[in-house]
Amino acid sequence: MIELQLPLEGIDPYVPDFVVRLAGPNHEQLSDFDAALVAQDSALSIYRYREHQFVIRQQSGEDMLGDVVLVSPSSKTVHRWIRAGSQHNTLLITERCDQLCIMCSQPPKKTHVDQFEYFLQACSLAPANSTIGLSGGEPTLYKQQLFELLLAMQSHRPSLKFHVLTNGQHFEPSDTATLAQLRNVVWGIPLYAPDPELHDKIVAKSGAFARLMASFELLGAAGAAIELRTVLTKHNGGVLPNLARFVVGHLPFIDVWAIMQLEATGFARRAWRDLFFDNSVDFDPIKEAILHVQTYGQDVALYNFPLCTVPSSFRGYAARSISDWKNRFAKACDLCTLKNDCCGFFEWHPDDHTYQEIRAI
Amino acid sequence: MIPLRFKDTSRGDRDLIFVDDGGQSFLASQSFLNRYVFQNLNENDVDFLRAEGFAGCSNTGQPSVANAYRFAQRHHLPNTIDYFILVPTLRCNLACSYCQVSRVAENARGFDWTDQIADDAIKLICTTGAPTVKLEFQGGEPTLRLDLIKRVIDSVEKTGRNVEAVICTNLGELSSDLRTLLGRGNVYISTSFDGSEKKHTVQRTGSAEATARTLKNIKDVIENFGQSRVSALPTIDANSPPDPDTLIDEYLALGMNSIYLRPINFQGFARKKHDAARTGQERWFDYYLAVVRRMIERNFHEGKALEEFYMAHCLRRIFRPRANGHADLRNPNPLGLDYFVIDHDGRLFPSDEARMIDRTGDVDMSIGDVHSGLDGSKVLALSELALNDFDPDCIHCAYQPFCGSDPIDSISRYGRTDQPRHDQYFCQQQTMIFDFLFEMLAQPTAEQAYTLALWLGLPAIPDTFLKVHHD
Ligand code: SF4
Ligand code: SF4
Repeated sequence: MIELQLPLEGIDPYVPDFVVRLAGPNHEQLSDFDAALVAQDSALSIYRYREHQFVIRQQSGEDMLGDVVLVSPSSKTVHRWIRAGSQHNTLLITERCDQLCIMCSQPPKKTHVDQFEYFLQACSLAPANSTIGLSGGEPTLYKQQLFELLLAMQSHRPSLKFHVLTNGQHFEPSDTATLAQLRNVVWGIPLYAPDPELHDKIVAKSGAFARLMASFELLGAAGAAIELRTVLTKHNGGVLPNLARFVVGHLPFIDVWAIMQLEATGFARRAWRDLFFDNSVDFDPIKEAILHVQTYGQDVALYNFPLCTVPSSFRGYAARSISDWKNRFAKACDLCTLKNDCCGFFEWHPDDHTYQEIRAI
Repeated sequence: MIPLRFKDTSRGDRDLIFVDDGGQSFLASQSFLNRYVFQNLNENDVDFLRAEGFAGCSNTGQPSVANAYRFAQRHHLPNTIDYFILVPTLRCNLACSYCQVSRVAENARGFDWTDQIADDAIKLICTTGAPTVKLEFQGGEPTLRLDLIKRVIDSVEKTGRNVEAVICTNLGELSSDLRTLLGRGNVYISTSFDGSEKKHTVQRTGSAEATARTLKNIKDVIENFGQSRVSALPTIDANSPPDPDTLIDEYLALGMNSIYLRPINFQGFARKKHDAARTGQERWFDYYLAVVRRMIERNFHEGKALEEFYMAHCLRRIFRPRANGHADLRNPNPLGLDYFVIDHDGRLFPSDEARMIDRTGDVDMSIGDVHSGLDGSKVLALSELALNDFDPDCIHCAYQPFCGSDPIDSISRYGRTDQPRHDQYFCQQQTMIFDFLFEMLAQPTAEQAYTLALWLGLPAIPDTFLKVHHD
């Protein structure tokens, strides 16, 4: 596990938050937004930024060169927002949400702190060609600022790509032009069931399904890039084949359908036994769903499925989807020939009541 | 409610297929048809149509974005010219009995690109905005002018464009110069092999030694440059075709699972010499299906992965709105807009077949020349014929969204573009193929299901391929 928040010392707690890129010791090459490395040993690094000096306590000599961080003196924390060497960087736009999904990995909170100014700066400093995740909570609750951020980056940093996780409850006809203009975004949007009752029940919001369909019409008409996301639970495992038929019939314009295994954190941790669908025991509905959408030429992927839990002819669909910073492997994996292609497990995956079959291949 | 076209598949109880304008299809019974026609749909019918996306938007009744999207994706829109068929010489060292392309003797004069034509051809190719350019060298036997081939590839690469070059050669010779060219990695060979050594000798080389040499050269290219670098096509004389298993075995021996079966071409010299071309259509269809049936059996029983390329492509078009990549079957089938031919004399043609018609008949099929470029008015005139959506026959045909249009073939066979569809070879061929496919799809045997899944690239066999409305 990689720590994304590191202890901060040696700076006046009244200094307002700021975003910097952590540079090396070579002072000549610094831009106005780089913090220069003054001194470093295995436990801490001292940086200078303008008139400030600050100390980051890091774990075992992790390389932070080029990382874009939020320095927050008041909370004595450095947030590693964009790690230079990683393709798994995500900015949390807000912790508010208007849904309350039964397996939410990031349960919403009431409060909201507007950090768009910092996000803008952080994205401006991100390495070329990186993909940045924007997540929440529900980012489109602050739709106008979100659009402004994305549009600004499209013109100033055209090599950046964004992956926005949204519940699709807030797009409106007046957004169509903006959605059509944005070419740097993939919208990751969840759909849990082919029928309104079940979907609404899972997201705990009545009318959510209907509202989502209205958004899909807009996104489809705008030619937006869409990653449809279905988290697998005991509630919807059985209807997956019907959901596949729904996807083919109603959502042919999506780019990929991601069927996702559950992440044992947030609400899902609490209700794990009631939610976890063990695909190593029953792969049939997933198989049927994949065969249907693939017959129609639509792309499908399995996220967070350890390869040994998937029948061999379907392993090609499984992606190494678990972000580096929260990824781990099991004991059995040490002997496994597929380890390099396998997503492994979430750091917080439970040891009991898990897949019946985990075995080295 | 979305309009549906329908057709009998003569298989099973639910034996009618229904197809909407976006090409989504399903199976249903005769009694559903009656309810549909008399606007007497029951709740179960409506539920099915809604769930599978056949009905319009639930709130507006308009076609949904999904329907519109499928309709749009089914139509091929060329954006830029990136494919050039080049005929640097018309001379050839063989005289195949049905030469697909008109040819002249190896030592004839005045049938090669002049320096001026070569220079202008290169200039014309380099006007394209495409970052990757496909060059197909045809003939005659284009390897007689490897110098010109090299010159074109080098010049285009010098402009910073990527080149993918295919040389269509009889592979009678595999010279050291050709080997050097193959060493580049972006040069491919397309050749002919008529399915058995005997047929190949009769139809092409005239001697068993020459046939053996050709086969040796094909294997040589595969061994030294890789399987992907050479493809081969059989041309079949329906009156005297090779035994299906022999043909399949010979191709398997070359490491080729995908075979594109083609009958002797009607154009060029083929038309004059071969009665088979005019009268053998039924025989050809029978043979074609006989080979496909053997493939289906052998895939299942011997674990092979054989496909007839064109039929497999038609199958993918039934299900997949975006399968527009193959120029032999697409709608619209625009001419002169995404590829054209530069002939040995510098004239431009919309296709290789058009070049043949021009040479054998009295119709002027050219669409410009290499010095002054494409003639816009001629391109436009041809483009009007490219769409099947409004053809008076296709409009009623359940296969229209999967099908295409081949106006050049119609000119070649009937001397006109408005021959009624059902009287056209192209339409009869498509009907034969789609009938065969839907008969399988409606109620596949275990053998058929195995091959259908294989051709669709599926990791296992689904319970059903088509959507089925149970009533
Ligand atoms: S044993 Fe571990 S590495 Fe191997 S497939 Fe299973 S989870 Fe993946
Ligand atoms: S050409 Fe024939 S098979 Fe094709 S759509 Fe037209 S009528 Fe149907």
